[in-house]
Amino acid sequence: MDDAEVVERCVAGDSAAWESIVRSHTRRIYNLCYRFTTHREEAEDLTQEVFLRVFRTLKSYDASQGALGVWLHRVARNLLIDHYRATRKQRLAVSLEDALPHIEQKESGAPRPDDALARTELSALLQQALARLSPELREAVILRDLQELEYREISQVLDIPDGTVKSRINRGRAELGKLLKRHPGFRTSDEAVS
Amino acid sequence: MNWDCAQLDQRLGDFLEGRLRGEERTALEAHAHACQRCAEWVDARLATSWLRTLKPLETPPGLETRILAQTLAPPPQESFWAVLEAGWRALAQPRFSFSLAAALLSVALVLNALDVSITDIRAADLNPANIYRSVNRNAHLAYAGGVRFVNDLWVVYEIRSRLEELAPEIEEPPASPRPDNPPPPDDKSDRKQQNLSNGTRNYSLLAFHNLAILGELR
Repeated sequence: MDDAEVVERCVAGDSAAWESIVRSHTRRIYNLCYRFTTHREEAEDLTQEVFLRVFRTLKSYDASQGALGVWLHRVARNLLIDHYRATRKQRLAVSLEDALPHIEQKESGAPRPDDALARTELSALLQQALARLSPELREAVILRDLQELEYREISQVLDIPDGTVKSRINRGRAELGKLLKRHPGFRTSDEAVS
Repeated sequence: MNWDCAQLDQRLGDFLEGRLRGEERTALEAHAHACQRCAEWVDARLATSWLRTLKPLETPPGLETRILAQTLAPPPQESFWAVLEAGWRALAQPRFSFSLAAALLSVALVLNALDVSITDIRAADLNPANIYRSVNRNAHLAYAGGVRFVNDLWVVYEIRSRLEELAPEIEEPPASPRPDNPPPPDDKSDRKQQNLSNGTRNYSLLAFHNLAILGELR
């Protein structure tokens, strides 16, 4: 059954069709929200909000504009940006100086690359560094490297040209590299990753 | 095989995502390590590799069920008190409270400036006919005040013009340099000058008097 058919059945009131959509997309949308916000509770609330919004606007889904998953990502992304703007003042209260020592403190541990704990720490650092990117670069990097969307799909989600998508992704990766290179375990872990 | 910056730019996506293999990868890495402009892509490639090792999180337990319950269950009927409480909660927001306080303060200042006392207002004052009469009266009073002010200005202008006409005669400097032996004082010319000074002083007093009256009127 293709996306258009499933959506049609949902609109007609078939709750099983809607349940199949929820069960097959919740994890990806939750991951997108979590990687963007870095807070589990916020991510849960936002995921619920995404599906509520999608449920209310199912009639407007146009299969020719892209797959259902891409549409869901677009709705989620718009909601995340709204949420980002709404909570900007709150985030500004936590200054960048507060965020930086977090990374510096972990450097002192100097974890070895073969250490599982080091991997966990580096993952946490990665999430923190991700949170410090501008929303434009962050969303592009998350969609490509974590959600594993194609460039064309990202272009549909963000509603920007392919070239801009690539440029944002690469700039985001470069920013991440700059933020992470201060960590001693980062460079030595090259072999462990590749 | 030697690569340059342009070639790296062309294959940047493949390089960062680790799709280059063998000789190509070695050559590009060698260039990126040697070139100051491209050095940042080495860290970017490593960051990308790390990002891709992050495993997706599991869906929190109960999230799907909550979504389904929210979307498929009929919306609950909100009671009158719940709606009232929601309304009160919206009004009790600090932003709304401060705006309301600022608006009330502005109204109070305007009423004070217009010399309106809220406690003196009676039910009859709110009658449209009375409001019209009051506004009409105040408008006429304001117009009359304006006319009087312009007339006063005209009087002051007239006095000042007269004073300016007289002033050159008094302050006229001597045409020739003063001789070593001044001539004996002429009683007649002295008296004439005295009279002119007195006249000017009188006009000045009149002008000040008028100005004082104007001040009182205002």
